[in-house]
Amino acid sequence: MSERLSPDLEALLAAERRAPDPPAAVRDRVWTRVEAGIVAGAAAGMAAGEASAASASASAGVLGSKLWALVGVAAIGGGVFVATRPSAPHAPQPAVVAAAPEVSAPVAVRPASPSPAVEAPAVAAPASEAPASAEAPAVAAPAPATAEAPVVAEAPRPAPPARAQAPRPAPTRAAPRREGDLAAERRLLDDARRAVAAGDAAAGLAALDRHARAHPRGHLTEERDALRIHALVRAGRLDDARAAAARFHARFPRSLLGPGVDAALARSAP
Amino acid sequence: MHEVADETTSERPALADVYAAHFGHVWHTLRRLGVQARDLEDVAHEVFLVVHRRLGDFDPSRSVRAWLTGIAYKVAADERRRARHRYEVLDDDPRPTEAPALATDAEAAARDARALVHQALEALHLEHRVVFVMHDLDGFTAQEIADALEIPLNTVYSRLRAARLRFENAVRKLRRRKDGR
Repeated sequence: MSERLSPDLEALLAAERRAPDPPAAVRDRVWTRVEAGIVAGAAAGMAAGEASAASASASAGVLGSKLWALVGVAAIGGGVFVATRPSAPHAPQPAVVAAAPEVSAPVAVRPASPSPAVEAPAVAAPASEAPASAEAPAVAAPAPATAEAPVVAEAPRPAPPARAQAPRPAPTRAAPRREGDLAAERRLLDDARRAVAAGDAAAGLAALDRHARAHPRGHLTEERDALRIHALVRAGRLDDARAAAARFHARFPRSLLGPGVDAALARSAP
Repeated sequence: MHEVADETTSERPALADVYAAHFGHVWHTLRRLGVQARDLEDVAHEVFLVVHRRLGDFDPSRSVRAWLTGIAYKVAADERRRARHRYEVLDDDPRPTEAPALATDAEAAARDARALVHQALEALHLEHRVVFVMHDLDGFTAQEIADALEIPLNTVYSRLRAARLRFENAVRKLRRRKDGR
């Protein structure tokens, strides 16, 4: 749709776009409940025959790898991204039998499960996959206060997963071939990221060029373009970096990686 | 800083990553779709339970954010149906999650603008509202919206047109009402 809103309305919407994010405590509290709900709901979900654990975990890997790629780029960029680490795996475990009745008011009780489900302090990269990023500058965690506070236990009402089943499961669209492509893409970007983090910008740029040739319209083009800017900064090619950043912002105006790109440029400014 | 070496990394939970990256977006989406402040945590919780179950359906070539928005919309629509009797449409404070203290003039003006946006959004049918929010606030393309909401592209355009008209009228009316006070 081409016609735009009036400048006046656009200004209103711009204010709404800048609405502050929910407090970290809220984010942590809801996450605690989600974890509890998954465990509690596993039994019910399986009874209802709706949870396809196998397919969920299979493509969780695909999605996960894309997101980890994002995390890695952000780590190099100085940490604009916070990945909370859950303390327990999320595979549905039909272990807990939740029987508490639904209550309409939140009640402050301890979670039934002894697992505290508290996120570790924000880490910006998985230790196992992006070791190079360990040298990234201290993560600017937007939520320092929550690092180890044992999240105030909001009653993890044994979540009602069946109730929220509005969307009909669509047939799985992710072709297996894609997973292979994505993995290949991620390997190239991992190479690039390690090189850049180790200070070898030339090797990083070469890996990025390989990615661009092999996957011109890949899944990780956004990550590649962001990483290229970091590599150019490391290489001291600031004019190129700035030009690439302008293209990046034009192409991905709402990218999660945008702030990291800007921060890298800002740090490099004389 | 904790490391995750003691975890079995092969079972890395993707949900945690999605949550970490997009909780804020889901939260704002729910607010913009009219979920009341007191219900936000409950509804956000439900959204991520659905996300957990549907990760297997996600097509990684598409926008995660748009996909999440589609899920948030469906959960919000359910919530609205369930809780309709609880809603007092225009009387609820539309910005209770923001700290009221020590606002500068600019902050106060921004808050007023956001409150006006939320009040005007209340004038929109939910299925129009979600298209408007996704397009004019989030900046998704019409095609992304069509995919996320599983509706035809033409429907996206027609709903967007209708939503903008209504939104504009609502803003005008709300301002008039305010000035007349």
